[in-house]
Amino acid sequence: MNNKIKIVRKPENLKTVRDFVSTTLQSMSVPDPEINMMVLAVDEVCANRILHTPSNPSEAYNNIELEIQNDNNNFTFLIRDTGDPYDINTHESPDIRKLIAEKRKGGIGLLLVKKIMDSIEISRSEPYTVLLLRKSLKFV
Amino acid sequence: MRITTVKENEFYIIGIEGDLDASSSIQLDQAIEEAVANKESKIIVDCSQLEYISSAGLGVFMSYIHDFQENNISLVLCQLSEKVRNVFQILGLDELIKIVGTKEEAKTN
Repeated sequence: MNNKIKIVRKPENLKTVRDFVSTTLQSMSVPDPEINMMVLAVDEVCANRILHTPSNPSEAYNNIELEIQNDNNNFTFLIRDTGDPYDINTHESPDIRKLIAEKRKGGIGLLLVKKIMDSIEISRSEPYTVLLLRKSLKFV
Repeated sequence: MRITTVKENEFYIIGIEGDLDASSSIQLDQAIEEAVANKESKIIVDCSQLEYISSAGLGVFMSYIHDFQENNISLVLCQLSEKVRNVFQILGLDELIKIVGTKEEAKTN
């Protein structure tokens, strides 16, 4: 099975990403509640990459690639694009009540990712920024 | 995603169908803004057809909590699937936003 997908960096393509993650994890017999959480985390990271990366005049640089690997229920989601690196781990986790008081609509996406995934790594391999999201599942 | 609005007596019902994500959350924001502009004070969000929500959708609800408390506007979400409700629970937003089972319950809150 092909566990890779490439999309053009546009918000309307997030649904394609979600469907791909969902279908791939279903084929790996992952239970629905875990699928839903991992779909959300990948969606949040891709949305973040789409919304906070300026589009490049060259079409070749306006894609996001996603690959899902499964090693004995240790899942790795590799997300690669040509946007600038942004270290999600140094991003200060916002206080929800403060965001509410400030009437903010954004700021909680990365918090969700951190809650769902075991680890998030970011690296630069020119011309790409590579994010690795990892999640280990223990099935009963 | 599709948004529907309907008035049922004193209640302003916003229905969400489909996926509420970074590409569609602005539509919900506009629907709530419109309700506020119309001076609606009892807003119910019917989530029975809501299939997915991401932080972009949560953020829209979050951004109105403060104003609605100050202006005595009630916002109640109802008929969430377990999958959608779980997303509210991750960050504890289910304790900050009123969520009930049925539309009838929403009307009595």
